Amino acid sequence: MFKTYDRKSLVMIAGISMLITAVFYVGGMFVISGFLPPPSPGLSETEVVNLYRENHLSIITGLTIAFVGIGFMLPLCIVGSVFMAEVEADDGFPFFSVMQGLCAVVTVLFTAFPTFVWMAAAFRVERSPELIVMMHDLGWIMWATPSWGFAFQGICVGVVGLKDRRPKPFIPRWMSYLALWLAAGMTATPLVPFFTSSGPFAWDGLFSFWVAFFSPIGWNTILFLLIINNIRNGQQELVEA
Amino acid sequence: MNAADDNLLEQRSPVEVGVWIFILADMCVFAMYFGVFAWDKHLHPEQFVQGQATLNNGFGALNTIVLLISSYFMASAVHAARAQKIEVYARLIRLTIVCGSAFLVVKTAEYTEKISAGFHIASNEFYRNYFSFTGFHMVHVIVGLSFVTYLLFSIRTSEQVRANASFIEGVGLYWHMVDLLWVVLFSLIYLVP
Repeated sequence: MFKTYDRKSLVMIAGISMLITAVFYVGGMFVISGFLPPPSPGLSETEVVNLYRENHLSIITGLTIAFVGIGFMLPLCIVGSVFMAEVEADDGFPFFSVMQGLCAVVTVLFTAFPTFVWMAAAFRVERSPELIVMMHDLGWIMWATPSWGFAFQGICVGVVGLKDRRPKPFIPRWMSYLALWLAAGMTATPLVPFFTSSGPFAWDGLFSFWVAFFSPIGWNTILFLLIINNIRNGQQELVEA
Repeated sequence: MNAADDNLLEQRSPVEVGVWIFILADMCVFAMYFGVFAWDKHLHPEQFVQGQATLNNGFGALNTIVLLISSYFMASAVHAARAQKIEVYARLIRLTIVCGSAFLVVKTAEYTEKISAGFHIASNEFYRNYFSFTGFHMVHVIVGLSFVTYLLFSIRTSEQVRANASFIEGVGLYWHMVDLLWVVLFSLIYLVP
């Protein structure tokens, strides 16, 4: 049903997209804008406004770079869907592969939208402090809360990975189980709007940020290493199981 | 882990290595929950004493008994599946579903009681721990129940049971983990002074 025309180039696209996303997003969010790790939701109005007024240029620059990097998640995820569709080819319509691709769009949009909201807050820093604080909160709630797109991606990858009974599955089975665990790890993020000051479920908290943000990064880092290994070995598969 | 290790583990347990990895990762997250609970309790001891006094131990104990019984049914179902006693297997799976559903009903009654009394997730540190951690556990019960229900409707003939032996064992293992986590949560939140 689905014949991939040049698998090696797709593997390259996945690896390069991953690298660009990581470098641009980490550079933009952590290094230049300083938006990650997130500022505490308990900051006062004056502190929030000063954050934008004193770092106006670095915020705009960092968020722009991060926004560009986010876009490169799409080719990576769609390459994933192509490899997943091969597994589902015999079942008819490749439901989980399409679902994964659509959820990737949702993930990308909900990661990109907050950067625009924060950029708008930094755009005219002389505007009313209440409006800056409102946009700051809107951006963070939008960034930290809606993780279901990513959770569904994890479920789709996990399910197809476990269905893949070929001698060389598209990802190792233990990576499929970890993908399902990643989806479970997102359970905490809907609690973000309940906590306005601090705690493990606040937007900078242990579960809402440190676990929910770094566990997918860990999974993707393993995937990247597997892809690199495959490129070096000239393999035609996404990863060598 | 190399192929030899994989084979060794598979000889000891018919469950896939990946299921163990999933369970280990999930238990690590729950270990963090327990750590956060202990830390918050250390910082706000009075709040935790007062909060614990408002909990209904009867609901907690009932749910512990219900889950322990469900685990017995699940373990027996796995044994019945191994022995190819399909009717016994199906009956025990149904009983597991009944117990799991009873847990959810009791939990809902308990939450309703607390919310009616004016407590919610952001009331204080104790209630944040109580609602969030028992809530996450409840999500695990719902996921587990979904798998057990899948067993009932999709793996029902002796051929299907034989072909999916590893999956049945995996679901059983997950259900025991959910049970074990509840026992720790119950002790930690309701009982430990």
